[in-house]
Amino acid sequence: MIKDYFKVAIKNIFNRKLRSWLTMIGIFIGIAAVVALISLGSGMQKAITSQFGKIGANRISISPGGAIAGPLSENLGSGILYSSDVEAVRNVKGVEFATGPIAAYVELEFNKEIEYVALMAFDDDTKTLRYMEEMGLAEVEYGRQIKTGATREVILGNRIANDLFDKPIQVGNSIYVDNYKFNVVGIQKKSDSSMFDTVIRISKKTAEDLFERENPSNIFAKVDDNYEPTEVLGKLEKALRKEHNVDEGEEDFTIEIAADVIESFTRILTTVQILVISIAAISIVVGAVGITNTMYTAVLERTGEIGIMKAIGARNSDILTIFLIESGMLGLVGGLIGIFIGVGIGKAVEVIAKAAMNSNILQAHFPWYLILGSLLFSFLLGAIAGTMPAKQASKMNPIDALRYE
Amino acid sequence: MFFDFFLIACRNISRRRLRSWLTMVGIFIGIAAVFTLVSLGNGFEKALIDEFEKMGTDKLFVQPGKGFFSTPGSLKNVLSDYDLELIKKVKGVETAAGMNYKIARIEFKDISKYSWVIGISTDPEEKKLLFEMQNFKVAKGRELESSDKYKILIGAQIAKGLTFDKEVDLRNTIKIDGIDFKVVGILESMGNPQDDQTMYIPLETEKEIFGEGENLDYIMAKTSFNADQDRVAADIMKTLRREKGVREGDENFNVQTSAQLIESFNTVLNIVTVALIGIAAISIVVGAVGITNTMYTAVLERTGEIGIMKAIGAKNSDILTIFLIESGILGMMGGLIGVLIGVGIGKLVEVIVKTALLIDYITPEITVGLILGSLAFAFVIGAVSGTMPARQASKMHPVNALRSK
Repeated sequence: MIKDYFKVAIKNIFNRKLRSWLTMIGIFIGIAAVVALISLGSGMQKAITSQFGKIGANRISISPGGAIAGPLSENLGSGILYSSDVEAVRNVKGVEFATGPIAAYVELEFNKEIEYVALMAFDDDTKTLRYMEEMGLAEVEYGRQIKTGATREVILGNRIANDLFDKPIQVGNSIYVDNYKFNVVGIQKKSDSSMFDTVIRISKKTAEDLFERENPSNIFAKVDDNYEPTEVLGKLEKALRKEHNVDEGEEDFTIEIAADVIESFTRILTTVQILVISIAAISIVVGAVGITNTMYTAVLERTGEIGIMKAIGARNSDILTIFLIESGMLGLVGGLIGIFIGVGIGKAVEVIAKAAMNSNILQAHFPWYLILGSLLFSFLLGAIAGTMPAKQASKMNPIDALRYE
Repeated sequence: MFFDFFLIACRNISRRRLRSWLTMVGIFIGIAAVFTLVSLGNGFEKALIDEFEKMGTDKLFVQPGKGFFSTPGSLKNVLSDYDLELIKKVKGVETAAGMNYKIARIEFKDISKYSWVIGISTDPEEKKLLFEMQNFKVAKGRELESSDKYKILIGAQIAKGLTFDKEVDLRNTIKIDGIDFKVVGILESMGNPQDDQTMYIPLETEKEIFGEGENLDYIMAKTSFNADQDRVAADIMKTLRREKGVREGDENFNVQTSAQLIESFNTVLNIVTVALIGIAAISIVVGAVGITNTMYTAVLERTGEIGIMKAIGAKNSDILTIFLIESGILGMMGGLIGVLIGVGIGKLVEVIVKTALLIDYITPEITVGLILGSLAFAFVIGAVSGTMPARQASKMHPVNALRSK
């Protein structure tokens, strides 16, 4: 029975080929735009979470008070973290590991060219290195890591080595960091977000000795698996309050579970995405109105046919179903074509962005639920858009319908 | 003659009222969306330019860093008091003043948080320049005087209680990093939360409590009457290069003219607006496809009529014109409704942004040009999307047309 309904619906769609195509164009343009935007948005979120995904819920980040603009804006905040704070953090029960890197802007000179870049100085022991590798911050593509105890060794972010200067820098070259000569021992692998591609790394000891800097710009800590991170966070706050000699509510530092920081970042991204997608979704609404219009026309044209069907025993619900299936099919096929085009656009943007911005951040991502959801959505959309015309058709008086022209 | 064509078109549109409405819905949704975005984008651009014009076009901005939009205050110890004196001596510079930025812990009646604290010069001439450029006006109390040390000027929203949940008045005490400051003046609102929730203290005090030494974060200069902006900017660069002993291209500072600043803001703004409008315009395309569809149906339905018109002497061009006018009217009526809705949405957004986000900048810029342009655009869209069906109608063979049903 339902198979017959489908046959009737498909036959009718084919009967007015041009009009069906135009109606479906309306749907597939909108679906294509929305699918492309969602795939790029979720690809971007995926890139960000995979960058920080290794961070997990047991990572804690401590920043000086007021450094609300990220780790490299430490000059901006009035709070200061001290090297002694790192010790204090390490001594808190439940903290498995803690490190306090120094971050700074430095002058970089290579081949008589001068540029200004961000510097990160981590401890050079194997434990810190392993910690950074776990966070995906330290993968070296060429060369090697900084040797423990080495003083004038530097590792360059991928874009600093390849794009910043007229001539690419290679392992073994010498560069000047704030007028001190350094030997390039490694070049980092390109990261998914460009954040770590524009940073240079030296050992913390070297930064302390040469640049007379000792206060860490942040402290990163890892909580032992046997302890509850929020509990340890409370203990850390208490310890640092004591260390900084401040009362509760007057802290000049901020402690956060790292995952929360990422979450607040992705929340902003989601808001922007929702705005853009809803603007694109307007065209789907317009497409749906197009389906309604086409279906009203179809009902009008087929009034006589409806009369005959009713006269030979079709129930109201049969007529309703036939027209709903028809409009649903228009939506579904439109959606199917839209998904194909959307996937194409998403991939094209990915390739263009990669070539133009030299960054992997814009990646089109097509999870199965996006494809399936879009199909289901477009079928429902078609059916809903066809509801009013279908109801009109089903409620026709057979005698009036037969008499009609 | 032309008037008759118009009458025929109008009669035909109102004859199939439901379908005409649905077709117009498709167009007006799209036009409304685009109209809203264009008017908001233009309004925002105008507000920005107004802001710059209030500042005056005879201003230059000297800041650390190479790029355009670095967070003020994140690069310290690039510019100094000495540089300010040098800049004042550059030919064509009438006067110059420095500012420092910090995010510090502020406290009022046991409520403490982090906020921007800006150090401004209290030297009468420098202060005058800063007030002029930042558009500061004291609403209550007085300005900072050169004898002031721990005195503070607060933004309008701080006074209203938006920062501390409590209203702040003259002679109240606010703590900055634990040091007491007395409120001597409240500024007039500048129309955005960032500026209106900032505190201003004497520059010398700022340097003292935050240990800034000779550092300046930002230097603004006013050029003398008739001076060539670009030349003065180049001279300042030259002076600073000589003082710091760096070659051209290696600077860690930059000078921008008002015109350059406006341009760089505009470029970013235009990219965002164009992207959003492009996405919204997709729905207009879908609406246009709807018009094409409706017109094809109309041509099909009126085949007999076309045959009769041709039989009694209508030329091909007459038929073409009648159908083009009809689809053009569909587009324009849709456009008219769309413009009305667009004006409404724009105003609604303005009210919401003003009350919820406290930003005055988002005002839709609705001009006669924009309205007429949208209407003309909608008419053209209608006519263009009706072209194919209209040609089909005009090329019909009268005998075949008469024979059809």
